[in-house]
Amino acid sequence: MRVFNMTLFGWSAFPRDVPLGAPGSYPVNNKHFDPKLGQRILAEFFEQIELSEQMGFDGINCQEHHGNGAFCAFVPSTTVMAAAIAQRTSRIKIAVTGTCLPLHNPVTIAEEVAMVDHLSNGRLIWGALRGFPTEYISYAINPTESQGRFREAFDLIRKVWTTEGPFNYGGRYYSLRNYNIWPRPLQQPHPKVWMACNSMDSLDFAVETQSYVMTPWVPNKQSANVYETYHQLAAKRGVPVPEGFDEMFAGISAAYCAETDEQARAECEEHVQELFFHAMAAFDSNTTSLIPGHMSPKGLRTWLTASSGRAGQSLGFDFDEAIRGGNLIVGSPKTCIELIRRQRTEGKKGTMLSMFQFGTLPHKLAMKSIGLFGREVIPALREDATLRLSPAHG
Amino acid sequence: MVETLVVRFNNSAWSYQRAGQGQPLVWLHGLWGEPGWEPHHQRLAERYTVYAPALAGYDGSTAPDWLTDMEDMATLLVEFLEALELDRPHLVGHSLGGWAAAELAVFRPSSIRSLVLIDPLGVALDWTKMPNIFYNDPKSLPGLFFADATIPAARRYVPPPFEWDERFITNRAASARLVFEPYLHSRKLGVRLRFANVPALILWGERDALISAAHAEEWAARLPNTEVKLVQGAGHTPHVECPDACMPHLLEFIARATKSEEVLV
Repeated sequence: MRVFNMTLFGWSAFPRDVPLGAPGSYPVNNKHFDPKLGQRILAEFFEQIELSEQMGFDGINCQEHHGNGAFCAFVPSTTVMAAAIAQRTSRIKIAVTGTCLPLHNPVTIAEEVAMVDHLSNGRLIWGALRGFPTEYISYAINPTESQGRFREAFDLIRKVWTTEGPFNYGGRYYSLRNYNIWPRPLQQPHPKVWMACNSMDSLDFAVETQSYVMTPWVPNKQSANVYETYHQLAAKRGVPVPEGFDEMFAGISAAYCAETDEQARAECEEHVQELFFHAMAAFDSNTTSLIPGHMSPKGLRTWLTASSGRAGQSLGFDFDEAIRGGNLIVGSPKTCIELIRRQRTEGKKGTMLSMFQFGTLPHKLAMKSIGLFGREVIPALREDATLRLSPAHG
Repeated sequence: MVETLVVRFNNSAWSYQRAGQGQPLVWLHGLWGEPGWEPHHQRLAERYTVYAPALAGYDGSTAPDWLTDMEDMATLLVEFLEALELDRPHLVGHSLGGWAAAELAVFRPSSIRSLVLIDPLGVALDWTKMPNIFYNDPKSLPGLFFADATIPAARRYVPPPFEWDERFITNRAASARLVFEPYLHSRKLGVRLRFANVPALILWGERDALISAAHAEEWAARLPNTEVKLVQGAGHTPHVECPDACMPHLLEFIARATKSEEVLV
């Protein structure tokens, strides 16, 4: 079982003048961006990243967000951030989880990922996702083309990494003439690929392309379903499950470790609430969900029926339910170990992408939690034979 | 009697409604499709044979893979007219349908008898100032299409979000596919309009909040043979909102276009 510190680079002073999820809440007005605070947030995150490496974490991951669409996160370019992390660490894996493919020139993505692969001495894992529909509005990319662009960009990026000598590419959305990549990636044939899967379609595409899978913010039970479905689809297609799949099968959570269960909850609860409030607003707002092409007509109709009672209100968040479901790992080291064991046994996860800083958590507490987790939880996980998985190559 | 039919051409199948007698008249719907056989159809069917197709991607009409913009739609529209063997129909288009009609008139002007454009999209004075219909408070949508969004018909054309059915959601995605970017306009259509040498009428709801009535003059300046009528009190959908102010202009124009053609003959 591997643990990654999922760095959000979230904004710690979220403005409240426009309710999140309400019409007009995206993008968050950048008059709220305080450059000095930005510097402090970056510095604190890098301290947490360095501590995570010292404390034996397996990796760091970061993700792309635009216009403060989610958590007011700081990172519109994951490769820039991954390059920075590469220079501040030496052993730990670095995962981009991931790039919003349809928003960019795929060749630029392929080139930058190859560069960061070298800059990190082959420690990079690359993740592909579609991004929030609001981001398509900002970038003026037709959201009804999202899936087509995603698939084509993904295909092109892998061709760019693996094709020897200049080649032409004639796609529907992207074309290349007499191109070959320089530098080629350090890891051959290319860095391992994580694909974000939250629908049958995306899962089937992951199977088809033999990608590793990361599930979005879902309970253990649902992540186990995704795991099973992947294997069923692979059997149906007659394609092999990639080596090391179990270890690479990843899910997202938030984690906070303190001396006792009571203390852990007392110290982090309001900040976890804040995180969920942002996450719900980003994923579940009317304006986001109604962007054409984001959901199938049937899916959107179902969503509208389900949410009509709420009439635009954010979903409530139940702390205990989130712990039971596996989205939250909060407690004493002993409790954390138990909850992580359930990530494996109930959720089938082999890699835990876990936020140790949710946004508003004081830096001091984040450092304390990472330290304690590293001292008492990680060694116990390593000693646990039931959590030992055969590693993916590289 | 109104018939609902399907015509097949070149790997496509379009659904259309037909009723009435007399010269053929083709009616092209706007951004969200046509909820059914509507009073404006009926009014025209008293004098003409009205054909009201669902454009490609809307209400069960198929959309080929290569369809991405309104030029493509006009290509399909030519095939639709040919498949039905319509003899130089009058062509009326509202909003997005007006755009499709104009594209067709540019490259096949001789295939239609007259052209009526009602609050057409396709030419924009400044698209950056137009409200975003694909990302906005969905509750504000009806107000962009009707000056008075409280009239019952407004709800049928643009329902409030929690009443969106699969039909409306599908039609909305069909529009997004065509007009999301460039947003509600073509960078080329305005330049080419001078080739649409066919008697044309521009009708515009003077209170159109989606694409302002100031655009009517822009169309008039570019089309070679056109007149303009503003519909007082109406928003983007004048034929539904103010039919008695709108439809007589349309009927009178089409009758006149037919008559002047007879004189020429």
